[in-house]
Amino acid sequence: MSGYKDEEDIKRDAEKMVEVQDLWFSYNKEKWALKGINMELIRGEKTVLLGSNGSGKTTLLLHLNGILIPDKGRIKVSGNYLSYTKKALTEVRKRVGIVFQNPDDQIVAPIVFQDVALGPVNLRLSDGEVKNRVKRALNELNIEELSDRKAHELSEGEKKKVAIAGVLAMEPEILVLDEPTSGLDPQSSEDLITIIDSMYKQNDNMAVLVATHNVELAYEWADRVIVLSEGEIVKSGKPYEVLGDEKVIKSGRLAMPRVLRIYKGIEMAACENPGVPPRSVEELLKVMKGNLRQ
Amino acid sequence: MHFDHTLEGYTVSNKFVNIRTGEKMFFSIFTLFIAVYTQSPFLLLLILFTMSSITIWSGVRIKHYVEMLMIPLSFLLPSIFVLAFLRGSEPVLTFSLLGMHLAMMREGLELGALLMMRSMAGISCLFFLIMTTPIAEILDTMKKFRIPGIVVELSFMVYKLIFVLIEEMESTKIAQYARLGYLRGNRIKSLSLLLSSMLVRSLEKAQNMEMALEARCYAGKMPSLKFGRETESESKVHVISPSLILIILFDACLLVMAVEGGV
Repeated sequence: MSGYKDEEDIKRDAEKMVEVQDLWFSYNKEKWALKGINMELIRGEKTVLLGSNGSGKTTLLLHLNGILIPDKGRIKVSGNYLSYTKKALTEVRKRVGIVFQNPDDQIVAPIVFQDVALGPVNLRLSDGEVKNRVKRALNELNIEELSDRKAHELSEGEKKKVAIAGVLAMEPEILVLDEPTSGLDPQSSEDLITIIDSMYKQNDNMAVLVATHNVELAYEWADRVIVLSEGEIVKSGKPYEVLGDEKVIKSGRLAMPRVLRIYKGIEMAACENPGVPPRSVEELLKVMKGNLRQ
Repeated sequence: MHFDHTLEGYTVSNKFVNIRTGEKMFFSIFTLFIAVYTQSPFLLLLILFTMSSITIWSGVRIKHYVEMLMIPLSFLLPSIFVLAFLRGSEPVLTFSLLGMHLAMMREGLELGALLMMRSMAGISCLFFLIMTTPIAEILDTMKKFRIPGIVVELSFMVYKLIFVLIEEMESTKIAQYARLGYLRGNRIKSLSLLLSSMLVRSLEKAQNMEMALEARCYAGKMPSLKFGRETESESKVHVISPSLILIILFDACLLVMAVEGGV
């Protein structure tokens, strides 16, 4: 959690896993849903796509694995431009795993392990490999005990985890989660974030993209934050740069993270050495203690 | 009664869980064929009686069984009632209604009774299957017996979507009740609103599901149940089992009686 990644641009270029170039898209040819999006996902980086309801987050995500086809602009995944033939799409969907917002839409098989096996089976992997992957995915999410349960009996939080396991079993290089914490109680959503974190640490060459409107999560967790508003990217960068910017917060219809807001207040009043702002409550308390002692 | 939960509950915890799905399917379907074929009321009653008592003995509560029977009965009874007026020449009961002379015929009544028994016997066969066997296993076995993939996949999707629809219907209905739907004057209007919103919502649901399936490279393959269990495949070497012998004996007796037709 401490410190931010500071790569050089050259290294960054080599590690680009997804590149979206000037993407325009509209559903009904009357109004643009996405207006010239430029975005990239970097290997080993946790990116959060922040945006209010209806800002185009989901629409953007659906472009990353070729479910929607852009009207203008191109998308590069692992160095290759997306082409929309059946074979190429399968290849892309293997690399880019999307976990949808509503797990009920995603979980189709009646039994948990069966649903987790759906991706691998359709990739025509051998039986042994399918079994291994199901086991590994359930293990990574720490839900082995759900394996034989019926999908419709699970709690909302369990369903989310099963949905993630189903995508993870395809071993994607880029994991995309749409509103992973929506509809969960605080405990389950914290739990889920911890699990996503540990999973991400186990696969350090993965890129993770989380779309949400939860600013607290974005501020505390992300390596990079992208703010989307009405189909346009308002700002992209390190969490404190983006979320500390009043203008961005306003035009994105968001709210400044509480820790940052409090810290800004303290900073104006007392802080002598303004450095990197704290990201979590714990870090904020540390800063406060340090200042009080002085 | 929530049919989805109760039914699914029975399928995983009854006395026949350990009997192979293929055997149960064979038992149910073969007996069903006999019920369709035979003309003997005695045989039909015998099938109805054995099938329903076996099902209830396996762990289904009588109350639920009867409730479930009521559903097909409510379709059956009216049509059989009508049949009694249409066939035959020997009136049993005559009366006039709104100036029309109506006569219930003996032949029609007999035919109706036979039809009724036949349908109930058939239904009891299918009830046995759906109350003792999880749908996932039935589909898996269908696949094993080389039933075309499209049929299996379709049955599976239909099954899955029934629950989606029931859920949607329940939440919409609650919303309607909360806003005073289904009161005396607006019952039909409420129902039509429910139906139209269900259509829109289910289309939306279907689209979301399709996208999610596409994202996981779905190419029409549903994973079989073997991926979850580790030991089962080895322990299933025996083809002949006590339960199979019993099933074959029972069905053979029925078949002989049906063909002889003498009872």
